[in-house]
Amino acid sequence: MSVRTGVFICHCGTNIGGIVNVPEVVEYARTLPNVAFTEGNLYTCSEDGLSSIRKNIKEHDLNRVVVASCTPRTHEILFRQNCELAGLNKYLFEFVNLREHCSWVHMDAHDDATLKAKDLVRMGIAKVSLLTPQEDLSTDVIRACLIIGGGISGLSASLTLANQGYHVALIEKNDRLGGLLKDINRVFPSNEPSSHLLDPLINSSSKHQNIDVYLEAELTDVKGFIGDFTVTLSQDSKTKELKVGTIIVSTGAQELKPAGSFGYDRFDNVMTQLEFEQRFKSDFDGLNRVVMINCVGARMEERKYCGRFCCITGIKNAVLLKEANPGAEISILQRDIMACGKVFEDYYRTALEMGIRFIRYNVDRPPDITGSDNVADKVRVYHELMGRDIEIDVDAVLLTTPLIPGEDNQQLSRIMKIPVGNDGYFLEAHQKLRPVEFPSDGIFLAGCARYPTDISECISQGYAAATKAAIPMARGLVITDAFTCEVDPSRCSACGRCVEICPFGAIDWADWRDMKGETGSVAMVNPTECKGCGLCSSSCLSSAITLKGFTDEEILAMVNTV
Amino acid sequence: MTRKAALVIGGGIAGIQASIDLANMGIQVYLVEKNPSIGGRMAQLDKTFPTNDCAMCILAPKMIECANHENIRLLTYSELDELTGDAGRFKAKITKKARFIEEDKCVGCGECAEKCPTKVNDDFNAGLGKRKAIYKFFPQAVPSTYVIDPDYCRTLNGKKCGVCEKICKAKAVNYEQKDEVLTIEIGAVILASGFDLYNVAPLTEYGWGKIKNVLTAMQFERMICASGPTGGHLKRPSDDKEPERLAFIQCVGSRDIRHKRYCSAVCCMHATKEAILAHEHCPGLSSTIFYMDMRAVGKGFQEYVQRAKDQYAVEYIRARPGRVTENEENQNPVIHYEDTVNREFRAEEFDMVILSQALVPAESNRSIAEKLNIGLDEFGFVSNPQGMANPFGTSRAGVFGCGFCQSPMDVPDSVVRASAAASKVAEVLASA
Amino acid sequence: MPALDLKAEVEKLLHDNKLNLCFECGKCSAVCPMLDFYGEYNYDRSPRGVVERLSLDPEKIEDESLWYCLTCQACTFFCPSGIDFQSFMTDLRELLLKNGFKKHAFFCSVCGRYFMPKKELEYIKKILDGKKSCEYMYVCPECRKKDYAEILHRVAHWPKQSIKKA
Repeated sequence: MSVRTGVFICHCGTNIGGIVNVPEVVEYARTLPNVAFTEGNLYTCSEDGLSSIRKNIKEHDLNRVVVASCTPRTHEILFRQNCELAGLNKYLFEFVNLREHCSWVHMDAHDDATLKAKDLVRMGIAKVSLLTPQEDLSTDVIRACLIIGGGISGLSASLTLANQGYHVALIEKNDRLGGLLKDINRVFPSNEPSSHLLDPLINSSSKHQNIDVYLEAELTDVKGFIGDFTVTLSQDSKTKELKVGTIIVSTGAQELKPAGSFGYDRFDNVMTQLEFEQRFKSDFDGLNRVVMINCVGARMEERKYCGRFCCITGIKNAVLLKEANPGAEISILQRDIMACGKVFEDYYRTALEMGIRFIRYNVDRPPDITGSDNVADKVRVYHELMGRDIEIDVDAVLLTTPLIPGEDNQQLSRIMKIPVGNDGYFLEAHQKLRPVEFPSDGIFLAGCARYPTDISECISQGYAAATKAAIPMARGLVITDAFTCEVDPSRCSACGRCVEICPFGAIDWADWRDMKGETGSVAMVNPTECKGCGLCSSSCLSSAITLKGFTDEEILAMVNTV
Repeated sequence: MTRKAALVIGGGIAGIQASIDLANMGIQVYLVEKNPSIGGRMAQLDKTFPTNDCAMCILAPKMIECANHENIRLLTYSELDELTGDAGRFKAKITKKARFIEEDKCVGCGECAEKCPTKVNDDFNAGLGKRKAIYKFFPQAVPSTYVIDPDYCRTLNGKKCGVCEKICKAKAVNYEQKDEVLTIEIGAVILASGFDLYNVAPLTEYGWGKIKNVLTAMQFERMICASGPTGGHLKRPSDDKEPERLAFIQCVGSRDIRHKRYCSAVCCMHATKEAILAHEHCPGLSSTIFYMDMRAVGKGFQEYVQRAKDQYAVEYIRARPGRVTENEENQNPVIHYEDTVNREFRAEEFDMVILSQALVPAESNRSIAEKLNIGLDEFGFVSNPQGMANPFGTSRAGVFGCGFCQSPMDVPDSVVRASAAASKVAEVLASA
Repeated sequence: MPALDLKAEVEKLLHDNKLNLCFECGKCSAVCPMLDFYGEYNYDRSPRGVVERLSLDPEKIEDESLWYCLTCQACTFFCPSGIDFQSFMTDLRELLLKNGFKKHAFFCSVCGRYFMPKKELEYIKKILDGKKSCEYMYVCPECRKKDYAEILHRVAHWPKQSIKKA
């Protein structure tokens, strides 16, 4: 059967069309071998564009499709689906990245960009002719979820999944559930004891028939892939193996201890907000003059991020101090008050109404704390908005520090092969639209393990991660992309480079008997775990590994047309 | 017997995400949207912070996934009439407004709109451009079906016309089409009605509506968007010249006891993003952002603000300007402000001034809340009597809220809340 | 140096007028007509500057900077935090006068009650600048009204009751 290729070239509004002369590229594509149909679209991804793909596959009997548009990251699935809807095997489709490989990087060179667009389209058309139909893989999913970390996020996720009928294994490295919230006395903005929130969750998850709680347990190994993970725990120096279909990482974070700043090591009465809560509980005797310093160890060179809710934590403790002792003089030295939204802004206003003073300081002229022996008694600060130094007598200084990533993050990242960002927090699949998912399937993220998150948001993220975990478990099976790597065992020299290099842990050793009857170990790719990144195939010294959809012949066909 | 079905009200990013998650869990979803297309406010955005992803590029696949999902029934241009029954066994009545276009016949070719003689202010473009009385909500609309605006169409108002009916090759125009009432049975409801833009005209000190080169943030967003009224060309409304100096005034209507007391939560980042994009459009351009507290609290936000300062000529001045006047010679807006850090008074001329207007709960919230029989707070946000323990709760069991209709929040938070509410629904459907 | 009870009273005034709700956003200064009026901007005379002096430099309570505010209410009208600075200023001046700080105030030449700050009067005189008789400027509106009513009375010969009724 002869190859009949349909080519669809997208303007992407002005993203491509404003730079590349799309009509010219369309006309050019029409002249290339094996091309049976060509069209330009304002947005190929709109319903108009997609219906045109479907219609023309049928009308022109197309057996290959090329779309030249934005990026396969977001749109390849969509175009493949539409090929499939029109009865064409979805792997007979090729994506040409005109926006990110061409128009966006050549914004100032319209003519050259058009020339390059023609090259890219020609290469895509050359490749697509060689593609062969492929079938997706399907795997069964075990209806159980492993939740790592028993803080408020993990507890929320556990309970909702258990209530939906899934089995949950909740592991916690400490000897009690509740996480960081357990150390906090009262919560903003309701000022109720944290136990009001936490105790019902701890009680119901401890009793729930669908939840197994493992305290003082540590995760030591994770094998397998979405739908069929084998996880190893160590508890009481014994190891235990569990089979689960999905995993939620809700390991939380820890408060920064600002060693070396603002007399933290020198003065007994200089402490962090959390230390203050643990030390004084609700008995604030002797605290008549308190200064809080915000952004200690945050929004600076070494640690650029904002702790998101530390301002509100400070306000909460100031409000509690003031409620207990209305005559107390409380000053909060701040750089910006991050009271986003409705509730927090009102909370900030309440603090102002109560007479809590907010003093804006400049990061380049930080406050100075003095005292005698190990007791701080004076804070000197440059009031940025008044342009002068002021002095405040103090009984205690509270340093408002941000959360910092959990100490186990790097280790967990290695065990589960999940990414950690520059800031040390786990890195989600997409900041905007996939905040509780990891790039690897079947593993999800919630709470402060991702980034400092307040209680409501922790609960929300726990529930959201639970939804994502419930989806494959509700379906009972997962379908994986067919473009994976394959080892030709007869060529494998068992050097182990690929096993080491695979970022998804998809390659393992397997026994193999060659044609002469000799047995030995060879590398083998588990197609369910393989993401088709191609690292192994490009690093294989024996050329034993092929990435389907990106075979040497296909790539060379592209190269040869340039 | 519980019905494994749910109603989602609002087709913005929160409603879309909730619908997709529910549908993927095997639950039948009815997604009701009052506009002719799903997409919501995110569809109006050019790009999104802090990744500078094109909003439509990441939204369109989700819109289409919604439309193509076997478990989702899209009910666009529709509104809820009433909800009866209890959690697990609700019955909802929904009116599908007449589009005067047969949905199954319209191919979205747009010839009708080309020939339609009636021009109307385009709300989707924040009033900056014009559309016709027969129109597609926006170019990437899902569904891509056209719709006739009954308030402006000549034929529907008894005048002579009928142009669209004559021109339509698909014979999709039907002036006789009537509203249709559907009754559906569902187990739970998610409200994701989103936000509206606060009318800044009463803030007369800033001159919006009087000074041509003073725009709202949404108007500016449409202007820099490739699919917007200027095709993505940044130009001053007074003389079509490319601006060189922009000013953004924050908290216009927000954090203001005379208007909305709360912080709208997204404007600091939104203004920063617009300043960055403007610089990308016109590389010589510089921006000044007048703020009170630079609330950049999300993941990667501080770094984004730093990047704006270092690479995109964005200056941040801590001041809440007093008024904006116009230099009559060149139509430049002049901002009068006290720089609170230097304690100096300045009157500074800019080419354009952009007002970061407050965001308010959707106006439709009031009538929807009445029909759902749920409570709202003083501003019109969904009130949540369960407090923190159930961040998605409303005053009625089985009805959940997510996204901006609960309180001001950005896209990632809305997406999280949407997915979270889906779990709540799944619980209701599993237990009832 | 003011007496301790005066300092406490000033603090009470600050508190009663909710000055602690201030975001220090600077909108009050930006809408204040002092620039148009006195030809220059001076932070010390702005609402924020006044509050700063009162809370941090109590010894400067006699300072003239407290007598520049025109009590025009522009700041009160525009304050996003809802602070009524105008009424605070009125209360404050009353308190200062009660404590004998009178040197920057002008008193009605007829009834002797406080009329307006000297600075303000000087400026108004400058504007009028000989165009009109400035004499009326030394008389407070109350007294002026009384004066006017008496003239009316003489001219119109109205019975006394009807004026009262009106």
